[in-house]
Amino acid sequence: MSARSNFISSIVMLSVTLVFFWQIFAIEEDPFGHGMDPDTFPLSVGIVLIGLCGSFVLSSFFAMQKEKKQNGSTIPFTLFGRLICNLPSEVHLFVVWVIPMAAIAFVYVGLMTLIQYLVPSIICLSATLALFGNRGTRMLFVIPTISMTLYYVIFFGILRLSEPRGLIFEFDNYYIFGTLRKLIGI
Amino acid sequence: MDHPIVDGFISLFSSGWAVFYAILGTTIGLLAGATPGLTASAAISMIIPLSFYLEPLSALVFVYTIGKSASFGGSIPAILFNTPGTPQASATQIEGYPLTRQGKQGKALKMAVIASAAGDTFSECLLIFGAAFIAVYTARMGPPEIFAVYCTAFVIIGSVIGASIMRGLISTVFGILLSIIGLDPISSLPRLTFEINMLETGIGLVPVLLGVFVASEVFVQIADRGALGSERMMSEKSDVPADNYVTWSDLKRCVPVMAKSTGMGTIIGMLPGVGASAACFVAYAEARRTASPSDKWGDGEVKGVAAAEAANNSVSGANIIPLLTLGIPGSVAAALLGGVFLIHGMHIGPRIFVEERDTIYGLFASGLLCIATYYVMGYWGAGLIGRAMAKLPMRVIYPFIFLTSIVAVYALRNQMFDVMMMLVFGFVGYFFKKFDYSLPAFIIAFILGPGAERALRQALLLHNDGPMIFLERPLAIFFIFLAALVIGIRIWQTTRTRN
Repeated sequence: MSARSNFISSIVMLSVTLVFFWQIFAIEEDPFGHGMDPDTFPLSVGIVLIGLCGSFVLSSFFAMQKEKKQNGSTIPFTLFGRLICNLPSEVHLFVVWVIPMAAIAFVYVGLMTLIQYLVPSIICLSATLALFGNRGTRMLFVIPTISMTLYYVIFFGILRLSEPRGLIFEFDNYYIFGTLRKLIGI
Repeated sequence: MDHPIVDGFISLFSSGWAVFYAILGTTIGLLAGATPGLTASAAISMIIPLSFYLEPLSALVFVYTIGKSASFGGSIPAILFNTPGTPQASATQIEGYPLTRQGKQGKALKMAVIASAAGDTFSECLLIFGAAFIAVYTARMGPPEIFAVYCTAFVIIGSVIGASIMRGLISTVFGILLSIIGLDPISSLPRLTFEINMLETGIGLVPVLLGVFVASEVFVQIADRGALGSERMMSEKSDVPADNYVTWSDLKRCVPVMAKSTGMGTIIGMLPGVGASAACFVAYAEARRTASPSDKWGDGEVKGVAAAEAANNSVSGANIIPLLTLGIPGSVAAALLGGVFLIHGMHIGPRIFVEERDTIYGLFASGLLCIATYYVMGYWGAGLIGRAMAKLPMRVIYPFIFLTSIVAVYALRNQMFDVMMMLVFGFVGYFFKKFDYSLPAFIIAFILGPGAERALRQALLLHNDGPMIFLERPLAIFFIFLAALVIGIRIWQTTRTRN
């Protein structure tokens, strides 16, 4: 690891620790006072962690000063063909690949809550396969459809895994039209 | 013979499902170990949600056998493709791959499975016959001694695992800090919850494990897409029959090395957190140091494969000893096994040998069954597994793994919050991997944190001397001294290497 990477990571760790450390002061006192206070252990752990992160920030900062000044490589970040900005290579990888992957996970669970397991699984598997560089009808349509149907039959059909009813199937138009009726005074 | 292991075998074989899960776990572990990028920890993390629905013995057996056989499984791609399937197979590839290039992959794979099974059997026997004796002594330890042991474990885990002491210690303490989130165990006051109600029950183990081991690995793979498409080539087999199996003369040359490496692996395995990755390199270096001039080290020496494999597999039984006697796991796989004990309401510690006797010895019996199973599979099927792995399209496998882990975490409580936690810990794992922080240290500390706090609070509640109580107990002083010694040696080593 270069001193620059160490410095960046130590700053991140210190910031996260400080956020948690701030929360330690929000811990209430035990009204009955049984032995050690509820905040003593977190406080001790927090102080040790701040000490460790702080010394890591300092040591990597001085190491960075000694190191030859290097400009980390940057990659242009484009959206629909338009240049948005230049990002350091590690950040670029994160923004371009990792964030969309996490977004698929959220969409998947959202869709699953809405229309149950099967269809969202096929859609999201197809999207994930595409993100991993797979192309073609066989990879993006045939394999997801067959495999997820098979999954569904085995786990939800044969092994009887419970599947909560999708929200869309319990749709009640009162929530929308009732509000609308109230709004227009009917 | 009147030993509890007999009852253990009866307990195991009286439940057909436990035997089924032992064999299934061995197979899954072998395949997971043989798949580069898919670690035993990731495989176990994906299995843990399923273990909620199994009876305790089947759940424990399932998780235990995955961890055990994955250790051998990692040697298959290390020997065949110069890509270790697990970190502990890294030393195996040094001598294993040159043997493959000479067409002697059959000999290397068979020696790997013989050495693995030999080391593992010795370690398992030590666990079966020795753990209960150690438990008798650890049962006499009070909260001050137990807290001192926890502190020593944290220092060893933090300073020994990974390349940097500082990053290792930060990972460990960060794991302890996150383990505090939730309600205070005595006063039930919320701590570090950021006023989020869902955090009052603490961060669930399953979202953390799936995030740190599975989601983070998928994130790393998606960010490193170049490596995914690479298909591996198998070398041609030699036409000389003796090159395709282990001869008597090979075995006679390797037995002393295997014995020494097994001893080293067992001792290292009992130390918390040090694990198989260190054991295989220590054993390999020692075997090479004491080699005869006629040996071909570096160019495909079968003794090197035997040393590394005997050492890394002898860790798997030994690292359960500190888990069961002190409640401190010797490795990540042991920590995950500890999690399954907790899920099924079993308290880890010396009394488990009395309270859950049949389950514990049933688990040990499954270890022996696992060794026999992976020996048979590995001896006759390692080449086949290798060929299958060579054709495995990882860019198709990872999307399946990712979606399965999301469903697994969501199915636990039908809570979107758990998925969010899994993704948050996926980012944490990604950050740790990219910046070389220690994920094993983090996860072990996360699991051990509540136990350490409980021991500290009990020690301070039972004695009125405050922190001075730790200096009044000789055993506690010994462990604190040991912790200081370990960190001192590690700093000295690092400084010497730097100079």
